[in-house]
Amino acid sequence: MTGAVTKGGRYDVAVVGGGHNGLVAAALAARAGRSVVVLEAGPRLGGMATLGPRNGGFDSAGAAHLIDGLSPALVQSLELQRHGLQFAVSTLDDVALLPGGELLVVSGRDPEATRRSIGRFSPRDAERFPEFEARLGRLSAALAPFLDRVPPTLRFEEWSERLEYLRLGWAMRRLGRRDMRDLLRIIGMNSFDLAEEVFETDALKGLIGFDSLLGNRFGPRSPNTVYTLLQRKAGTIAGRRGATALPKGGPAALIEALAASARAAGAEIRTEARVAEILVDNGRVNGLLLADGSEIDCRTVLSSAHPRTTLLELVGAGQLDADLVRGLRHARGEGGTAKVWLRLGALPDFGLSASDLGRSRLVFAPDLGFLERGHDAAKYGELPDRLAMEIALPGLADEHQLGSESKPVVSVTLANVPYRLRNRDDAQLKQALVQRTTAALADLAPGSGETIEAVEALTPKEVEAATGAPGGHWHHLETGLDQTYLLRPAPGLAQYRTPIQGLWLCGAGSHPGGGVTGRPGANAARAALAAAKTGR
Amino acid sequence: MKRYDAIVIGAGHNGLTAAAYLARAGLDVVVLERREAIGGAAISEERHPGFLYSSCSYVCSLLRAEIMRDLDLSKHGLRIIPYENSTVIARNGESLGFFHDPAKTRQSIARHSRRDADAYAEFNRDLYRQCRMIRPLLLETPPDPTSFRLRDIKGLRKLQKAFAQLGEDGLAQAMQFWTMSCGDFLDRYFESELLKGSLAGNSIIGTALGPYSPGSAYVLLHHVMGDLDGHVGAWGFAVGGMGAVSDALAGAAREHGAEIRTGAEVEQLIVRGGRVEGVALAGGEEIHAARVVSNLDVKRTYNRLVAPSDLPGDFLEAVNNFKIRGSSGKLNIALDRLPEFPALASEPLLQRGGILISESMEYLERGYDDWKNGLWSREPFLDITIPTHYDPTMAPPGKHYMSVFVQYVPPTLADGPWTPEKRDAFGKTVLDTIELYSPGFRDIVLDCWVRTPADIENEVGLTEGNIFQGELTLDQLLFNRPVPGYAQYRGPLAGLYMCGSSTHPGGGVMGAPGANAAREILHDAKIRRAA
Repeated sequence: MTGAVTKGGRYDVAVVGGGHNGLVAAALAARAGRSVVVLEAGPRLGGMATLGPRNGGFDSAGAAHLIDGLSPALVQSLELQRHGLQFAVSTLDDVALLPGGELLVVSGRDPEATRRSIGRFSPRDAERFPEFEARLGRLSAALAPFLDRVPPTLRFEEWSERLEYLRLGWAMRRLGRRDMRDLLRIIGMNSFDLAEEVFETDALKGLIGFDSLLGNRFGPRSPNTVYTLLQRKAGTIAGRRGATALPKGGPAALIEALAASARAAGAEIRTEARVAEILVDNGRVNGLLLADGSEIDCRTVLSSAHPRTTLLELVGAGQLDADLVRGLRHARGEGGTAKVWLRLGALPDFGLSASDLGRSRLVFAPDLGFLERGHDAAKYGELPDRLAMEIALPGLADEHQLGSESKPVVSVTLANVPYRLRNRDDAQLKQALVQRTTAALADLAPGSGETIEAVEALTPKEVEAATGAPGGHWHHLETGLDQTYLLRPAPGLAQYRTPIQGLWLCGAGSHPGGGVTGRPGANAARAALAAAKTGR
Repeated sequence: MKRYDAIVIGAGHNGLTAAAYLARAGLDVVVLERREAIGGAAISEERHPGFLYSSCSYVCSLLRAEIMRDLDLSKHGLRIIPYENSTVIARNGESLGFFHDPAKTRQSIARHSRRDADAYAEFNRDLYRQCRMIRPLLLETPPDPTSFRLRDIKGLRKLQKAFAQLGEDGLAQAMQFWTMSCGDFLDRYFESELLKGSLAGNSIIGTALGPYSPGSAYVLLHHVMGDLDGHVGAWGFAVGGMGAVSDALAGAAREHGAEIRTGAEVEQLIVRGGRVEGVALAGGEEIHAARVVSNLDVKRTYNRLVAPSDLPGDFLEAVNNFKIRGSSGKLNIALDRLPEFPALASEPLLQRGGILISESMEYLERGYDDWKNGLWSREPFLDITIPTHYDPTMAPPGKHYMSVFVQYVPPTLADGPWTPEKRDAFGKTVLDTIELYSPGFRDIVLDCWVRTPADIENEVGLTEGNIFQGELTLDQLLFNRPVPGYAQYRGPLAGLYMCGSSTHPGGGVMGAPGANAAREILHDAKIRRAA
């Protein structure tokens, strides 16, 4: 470089992006004794997890209102509890809302209550449900260890990689013949067929279908949705596999705990520090150029930014092989999920007591056909008349999350949202989302419509604008089978390593994908640290 | 009473193939066919005086060359004439042609998009690399990945080697191919909707998937992995219609001593002590044999011919979970003269191959949405062929036979089962569609025979009218087909085998399931002269 360059400091490792995966990577690198800096472009940490309005009484709102799959090993190794992580509710109940005001409750804490609730719809389904849960539990448990491991390449050259394939084969075999056959069959199936094979209750099937597609642009008939369901179930939180938990203080508190852990280990965290360019010299990372013109001197960069942003923008397509560029460009990642927050003047009446409401995750997806039709509309850029949604009222079990003046905030995650509304702009999409959500709420919790005091929404395009992730997809990229494990984010990039020596991908675009799991960040950091040790 | 070495139930092309191989190895074989005519879905019928229809299956590409050779099918009269070309036509009068001569194809694509014309060569190269990998696997018995038997371990090793030969890039592409949607795959290469629409046609034919459903890329591969005269992916017409394929197979079977009985409907299997010992016919007659081979689909075989009490409960459950949804219909049309397609006015030669109606990816996807909602596609995908261009004997002089394959058509409709009135309304939808591309078409129609999935089920015996005897999705391919643990042509009952398209490698007039089943049967019978 020529000319006057402001020095931005010298570090062993620089982490691009202060989302949760970036913070995990930074904390691990710092704990390994490296000097680390985290560079976050925006004013606050947390990336997608903490996105949301900050005024109008929505101060603790965050897109990731509930957490599942946060790696327990990380919680322990980063001492997140010591740094403030607590769960207000460690296992939420799943409650399916039905148009007539009926409820179906699947309780992770109380199997008897689940049996009774399902039994009101179908005694046969009530009988079958525990075995179904156990079955998915066994199969997802076989996959779970691989969420914390670096996927092997397809070269089959090194012994360590062959060993990884053997490990995979062994994990399958250990399931026993019956379960192994089951896994090899259903992993490529869609959740529609799986649910239809086992159950007859629409509400229960709708709940299964919803969990198989949330975050992605799928319908329950899209093949591979069983895989996404299994991956969701593979996570363990607060000691329970497949559970959903409510962090005390919301997603922001989890991010705080991660940042505190990283700082305690010596990492420096900067906000409003936008990386403009990853400097490359002779195929190697040679530092970072920030938007303010300063330069960070470092040889290892872990980027939690979207893989396309990292490689095509910060590095530049010119430095990369054409096939790789094409693979990246075509990786599917248009967002299909949106948020709406509502502040109500009174507790909405979903037919649940305040304490039950506080420990429940409400799902509106009354049947599989409803979900599929929603997907059909969204794929043509249309907004379905009624949207499938997940509703939580985090403030009821966690007073830190009550809105201003202690008014309940309803946090709604919407599925089947088009990234781009055909012939309409994003403001119109936003308006329609608000209108659809308030109408649904008035329908599902009679009387609540009149008590709405404030509404905020977040569209995929706004996620894109706020985080810089092209498409604004919650998982950066879809997590279908063709974009998972050793194909994620694109063939040749699945080991977190990039063709630029010293540059690693550590965000949701890498294995095992999105959600607040910390796993891509942890796997990438471990791979980068190990490579630095062996000098590769 | 005579006792056979083997009974084959159903004289479809796979049943005949199996019978021919078994007889060739010296077994005493009888084939029992419910209908008066052999052939199953590969059949030619004179339904209108002077016109010979390929009633169901209508073109030939997948029939394995090895089988043609082993059974000497050309000696038994089989002649297949390759298409010279094919085309897709659009409502706005445009067309895009695929010619025998790659340079002409390139030119035709370039009229729509120069970029696509360049990408087409690359697309073909990538596609054929995958085809070359799969083709040797078609005539292999899928290994059981849960087994520790030497045979299965060897099989898995072979499978692994076939994949490994692709190299790192090819392997990654193969994995994507088996899991991604055809739409995503095509979007990587092309921008022209007409081009994508025409190529995607192969990914939806016979399939209960939309072009943007993950897994549909494999179906595309399934349709192009055939070869004719060394041209990978080439399609052809059988002289005398598709019945000629069945006739040639029957000829080969008979030559080796097999007996073929028509009008012989099997009512149930004779099972004693977990072993199948023969069959009972509808009239009460019993026929005994050491082994029985079913060319019926897996649901018909186990739900209709065997008492549930003779089968393990979880096997029966797996059979019931097998996905076999019908999604296709067919129109056989007798024409007074050749139709005119204004879109092909400047390239009349293009009428001689397949003519696709497939405007865009969205056109196909919306057609699929209708199917999901229990309707036939209001704007259907059509694959139109006029075999009389090549084989004038199929119609009186000057007249023509047109075959129209229609996708998507549900096996039952949202408002209930099919009725003659609904069938007529469906036929009208298709004729109205053709009329849009060929004004005046309706005036030259002499006869139109409309077939819904329900008709195909009732006449041919394909459950739900599914032309592949079971969907070609990842959960139903290779060692999962038809039922995990029973993918090696055997079922839980000793002496009972399956040889239909419900088994690996699936549907299409390929003959591979029949040949593979015969090989397994001979293996069990310890007869060395295998296929």
